[in-house]
Amino acid sequence: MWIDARARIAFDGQGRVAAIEQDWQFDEMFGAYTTQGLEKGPDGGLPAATLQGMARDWMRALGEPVSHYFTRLTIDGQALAFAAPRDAAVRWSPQDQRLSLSFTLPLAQPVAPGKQGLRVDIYDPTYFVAYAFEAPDAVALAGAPAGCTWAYQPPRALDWQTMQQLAAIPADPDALPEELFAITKGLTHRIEVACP
Amino acid sequence: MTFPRRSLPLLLLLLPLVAGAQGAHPFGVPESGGGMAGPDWLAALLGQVSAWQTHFYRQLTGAVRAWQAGGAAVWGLLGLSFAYGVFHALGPGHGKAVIASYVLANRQTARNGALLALLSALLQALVAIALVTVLAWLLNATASAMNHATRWLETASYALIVALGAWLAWQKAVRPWLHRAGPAHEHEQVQAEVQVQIHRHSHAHAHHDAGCGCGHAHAPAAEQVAGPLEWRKALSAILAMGLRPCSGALVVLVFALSQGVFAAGIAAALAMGLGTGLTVAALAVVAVLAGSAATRFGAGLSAQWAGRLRTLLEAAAALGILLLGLVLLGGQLAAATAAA
Repeated sequence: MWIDARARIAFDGQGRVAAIEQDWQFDEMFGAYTTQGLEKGPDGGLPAATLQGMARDWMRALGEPVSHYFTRLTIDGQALAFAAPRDAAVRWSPQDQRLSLSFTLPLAQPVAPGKQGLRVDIYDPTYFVAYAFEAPDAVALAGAPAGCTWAYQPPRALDWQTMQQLAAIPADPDALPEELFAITKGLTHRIEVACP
Repeated sequence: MTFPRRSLPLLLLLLPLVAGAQGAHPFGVPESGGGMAGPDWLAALLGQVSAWQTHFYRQLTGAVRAWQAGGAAVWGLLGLSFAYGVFHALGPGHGKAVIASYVLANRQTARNGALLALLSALLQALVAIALVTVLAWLLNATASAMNHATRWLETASYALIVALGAWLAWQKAVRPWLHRAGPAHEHEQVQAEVQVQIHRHSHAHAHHDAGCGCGHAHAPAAEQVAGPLEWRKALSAILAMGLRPCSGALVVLVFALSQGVFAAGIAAALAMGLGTGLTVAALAVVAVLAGSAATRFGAGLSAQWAGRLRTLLEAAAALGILLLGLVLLGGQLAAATAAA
């Protein structure tokens, strides 16, 4: 399945990143499958209770440590912890048969990106979901201090040489040299935010 | 010693792949495999395979809609579905490990191995079509009901793998060992095996063995040993691999149903099955060739060692199936207990 995704990096009043606001629009086939057999209104819409149930189930499943909301935040190589997500909502558009899930993922401790930058990696470790950040506003900063910049990098296609490099190193991820570890990590959708 | 050394770790390599990530995916579509517990380069490679699969998946939506236009659109959908099936088969999954081990353990011919792969892929497509026809079309059941049904089929398939593995392990590992422990010589072990392989000819063969008085084991090539498929055993292998429908087929079928072009979904599911079947068939052929290469190489050593090598390979493959089945079934039961 694939997801047309949007991510907004939200800052607090002190110029720190406080949350990631995400909006994931699922592909049509997934929408058709997931809404199959559900009671729909005359306009093809789904009852609010059904949508809330979906949002609850998905957020609970995404919150499992193995999924980790398919989102990783790091600063200086250090992973940042999330607080409980909020504003989770599922929408169903009968016109274009698309389901979408939006939620806000607050940081447990807001953090200033600084010059070295904050790194947001979005990916499904099982590779079952493919993300696409293709919309013009797919990545945005909200309430960022002047001079903050962002850069988006799609997952890189693996070339044969990289694959051989990866094959040559031991399976233990802790044993990876830093440079090769970065190559492995290059398989994610990455947003880097830096502030002066 | 190139082949035996390499093919055994290859089988073991497949185990962690399926052992990981047994739980349901957050988005509820039943999806087995996808465990990223293997070495990093493998995870990266599978990620790339998955990216290609998604590339075809993305175009399926439009192709299903275009179906009604007929002509080239029909071939477009069939081609995309076929390609999706090929890449689906290249991704993680237990089916390939089972069939590769099965043909090794049973000394199947390449033709039989390929046939098994194709039949189980066909069954997989038919199960998906039947499931969506009955549950979604006739009963208007929900996605969660279909997921439940899929989970049940999956559990049944894993249980069959355990049964098949136990059966093969008895034939290939335990019984030969018991024979070895007794006063019997090695040739009896090989002979017993041959009788299992082609029981219809067992009398003739036993006579032949006694007649030629071969006091040492000889390892005939697969082509000589494997007769017609043993249907009882082959059927359980086909069921073990084909009982669980692939999620891609379910999703495209339900989508086609929602668009009022169910026939397009059926065609897509069958084309996916063909793509998967041919890919796994190719793998089965490689497994057979690797097995007989090991035998031929072994024959160059000494006849006795060749027999031992062959027996060891078959026993390892049989035990591999059993272990794989236990891991899969255990994961499934653990997930069910956790959910309850």
